[in-house]
Amino acid sequence: MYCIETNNLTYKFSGNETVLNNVNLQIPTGSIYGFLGPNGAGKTTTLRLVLGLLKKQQGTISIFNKSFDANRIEILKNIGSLIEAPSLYAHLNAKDNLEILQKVYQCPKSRIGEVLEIVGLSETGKKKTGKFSLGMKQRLSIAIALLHNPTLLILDEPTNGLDPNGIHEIRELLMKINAEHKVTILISSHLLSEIEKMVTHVGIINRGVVLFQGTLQELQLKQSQSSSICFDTSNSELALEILKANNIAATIANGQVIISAVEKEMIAKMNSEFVKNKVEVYQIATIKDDLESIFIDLTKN
Amino acid sequence: MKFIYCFRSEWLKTKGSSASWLCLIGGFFIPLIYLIVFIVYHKTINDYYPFFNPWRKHYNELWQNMAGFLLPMGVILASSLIAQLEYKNNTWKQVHTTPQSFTTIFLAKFAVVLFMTFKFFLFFTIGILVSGIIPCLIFDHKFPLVGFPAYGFLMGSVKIFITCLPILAIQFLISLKFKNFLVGIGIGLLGLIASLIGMSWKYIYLSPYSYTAMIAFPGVKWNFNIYIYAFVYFLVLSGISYYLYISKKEKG
Repeated sequence: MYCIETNNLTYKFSGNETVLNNVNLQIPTGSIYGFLGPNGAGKTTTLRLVLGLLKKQQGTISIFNKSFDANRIEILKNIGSLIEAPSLYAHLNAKDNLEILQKVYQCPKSRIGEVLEIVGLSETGKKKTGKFSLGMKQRLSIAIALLHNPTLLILDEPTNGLDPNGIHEIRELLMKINAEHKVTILISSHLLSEIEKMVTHVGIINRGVVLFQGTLQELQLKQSQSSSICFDTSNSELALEILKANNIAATIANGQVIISAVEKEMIAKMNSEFVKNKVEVYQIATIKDDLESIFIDLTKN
Repeated sequence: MKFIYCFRSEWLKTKGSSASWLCLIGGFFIPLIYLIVFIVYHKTINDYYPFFNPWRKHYNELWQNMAGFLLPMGVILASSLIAQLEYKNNTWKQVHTTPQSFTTIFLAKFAVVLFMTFKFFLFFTIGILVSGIIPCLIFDHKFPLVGFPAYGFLMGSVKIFITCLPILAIQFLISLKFKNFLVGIGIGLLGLIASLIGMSWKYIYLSPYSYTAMIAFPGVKWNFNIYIYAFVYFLVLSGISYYLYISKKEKG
C-alpha cells in the first residue's frame, strides 16, 4: 500500500521548459523514502506539487489513497512538511512560532514544549528566531513539522546547514519517529551518503525524469553488479591470456588484472587455472562501486 | 470556528511586529504632542473658545492633523507590513500547507489588517481623551461643564474609519500581489500625494486615496456621500484582491 502515489506528473514552467516529465512516485506506507537528485533535478518542484503549493498541470496525486485535489484539507491535517529554507517569523521566538501553528492544528499546547525538547531547542527562551543560526532554524522547522503528530513527513533537504553531529541527531530522530510511530517519511537530498544510512526506499530523479525507484536493497544489488574483481599476480600478461582463454573479458590496470564481477565459483576456478599455469596469486580483491558513484553514474547519463 | 483559530494564529504573527509598533506609536503620536504643548504652556482644553464645546474642538483638531496625511500613510504602511509578513519571512509555503481553505486564510489575514486599523483608532481615541484629561488634573482645572459628546466621537470615528477602507483594501491587494515591499509603499505614497495635490479636481473621488483627505479639509465641499463611495470602493477592491489571491498558481 502506498502512502503517496503520483501518476504521470508533468510540470512545465513558463517558456515550455519541462521540469517534471511523467514522474511516477510510489512511496510505501511506513517507509523512509529518500528522494535523490542533483540540484535542479526537480525534487523540490515534485514536493511542492505533492503539497499543493504549485498548481498541477498534468497527472494525478494521491495521498493516503485519496485524491489530493478533492481532499486537500483532510490530507494536510496529517502531513508535516519542511520545504527548502526554514519558514519562520524572524521577529518571534521559537515558542511563538510553534504557537502560531498550534492554534491552527488545535493540538495540545504541551506539544510545543515536547517538540522543542525533541529538537534540542527548549533553552532558547525569548531569543528571536531571526537571531538563530541556520542549524537552529532547521531544527525549529523540523519541530514545526512534528508539532501535530503527522503520519506523513515531507522534508526537503532537512539537514541543510547542520553540522555532522546535527545531521546524525536528525537522522536518529527521524529513524526513531519512523520506527516508533510508523510515520512515513519522504526526505529529499542531493547527497546519497547523507541519507543512505536511514532510508528503506530510494527514488533517483534527474532533469525531471525518475531514473531509479526501489528499495535500498535493490540499489545495493545494482552496486554489487557494478563491482569488479582484481587479481594481483606475478605475471599479469599470462593471467590476462588465461582469462581470455576462458572467455572472461579482462584488463590490466596498475599491474593488476581486473575483471567484472563473476560468480565466486568462477573466481576459485580462475585461481586454480593461474596456479596450474605457474602464475603466483598474491591477492584477490573485490572492488565495489559505492552507492554514491552509482548515483553519480545514473544522474550523469 | 476554523476562522477564529486562523484569525488567532494570524494575530499572533503581528506580536512585536513593525505594524504593531507603528499602530502604537502612530496612535499616540499627535495626542502626545498636544499633551506636551498643554503642559509646557500651562493650558487645558478649557482655554479653547468658551462658546464651543472644548471636547469637540479638541477632537476635531487632533483628527484634522491626523486624517490629512498621517492616517492614510499609517494605513498604507500597516496594511503593507501585515500582508508582507509571509513574503518577508518566506512563510507562504508554511501557511499554505496547513489544513485550512485558502478563503479562510485570506479572510483571516484581511480581518487582521482591519483589526489593526481598529486598534489604531482605539489608541488614538484614548490618546485624545488622555491629552484632554491629564492637563486638567495637573493644573487643577475643572473638566469642561458641557457634556462629553461620546456619540458624536463614535460616529465621527466610524466615518473616518470608512474613508480609510479603500486605502486599506488597495494596499492589501498590492502587498499580496508583489513580493517587493517597496512596490506597495511606493504606489501608496504616490497615490496619496497625487490625491492631495489634485484635491480640487472634480473627479478626485475616483482615487481610493482621496477620501481621508476629503474629511480632513473642512473647506472642501462635496455634493455626494463620500462614505458610500469609499465603502463601495472597499468592497470592489477586496473582491479583486480575493480573486487574485485564490487564482495564484504558485502558493509558496
